[in-house]
Amino acid sequence: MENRGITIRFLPEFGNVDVARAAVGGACVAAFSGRQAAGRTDEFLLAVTEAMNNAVEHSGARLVEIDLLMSPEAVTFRMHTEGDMFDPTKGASMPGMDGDDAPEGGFGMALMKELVDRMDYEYKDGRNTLTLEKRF
Amino acid sequence: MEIKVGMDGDIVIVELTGDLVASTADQLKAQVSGLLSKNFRFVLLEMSKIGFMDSSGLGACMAAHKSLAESGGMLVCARPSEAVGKIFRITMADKKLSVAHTKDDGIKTLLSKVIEARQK
Repeated sequence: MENRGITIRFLPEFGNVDVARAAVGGACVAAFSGRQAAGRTDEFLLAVTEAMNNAVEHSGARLVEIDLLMSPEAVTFRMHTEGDMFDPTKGASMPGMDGDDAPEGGFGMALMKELVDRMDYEYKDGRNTLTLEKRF
Repeated sequence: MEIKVGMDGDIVIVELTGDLVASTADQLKAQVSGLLSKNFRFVLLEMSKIGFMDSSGLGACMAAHKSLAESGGMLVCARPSEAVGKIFRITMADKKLSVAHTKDDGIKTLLSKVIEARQK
């Protein structure tokens, strides 16, 4: 497969995350096709969804921009938001399930970390860039 | 997301069709709150028609489990897909949630809880 890519910009609303997920999902089906990797597509799509949900819920950005790059080696998702820097290590551990309480949130960052092969974060000139990569 | 509700004795069967995600998770929370307000405490969540679930959907399941358990009831998540079941496993939510692989198993688990509640 040759290198391919798409870019999507959306207003930070959960309904728009659904639309963006559908587009990324369609692209992933094509990218992972024939690689016996249905489970890996699901994992990547979940990680990407968690990233976009976090941007909608926490970034305060007025616009979310995502790039999806597909190469013969990997699928790479980059999400750009303007706003305050965030700490990618915060919430990177799965909430504990051993106590009496049942946690209702705090799974997003930990799931992202668990489901992709590479997760990078960069803050430059007021712009956050989160990169998630899944290799074939 | 579509929600269908059915009754089997004291057990309420809530069937979800579509995606259980951030944009829809509140529908499940509202459904369970509504059931609790009418004193229905034993709920089987039929998950086989959920196409995609994210951590907000998981959070809604955990919230439903918590509110039903606090009222002396129970939630059983029945027939999750492989992808949904994997989220339960990775997050270890299956330590808290009761997960059934068939509807019959889920009903049996809930019936035991109903009998236990009646004997108290």
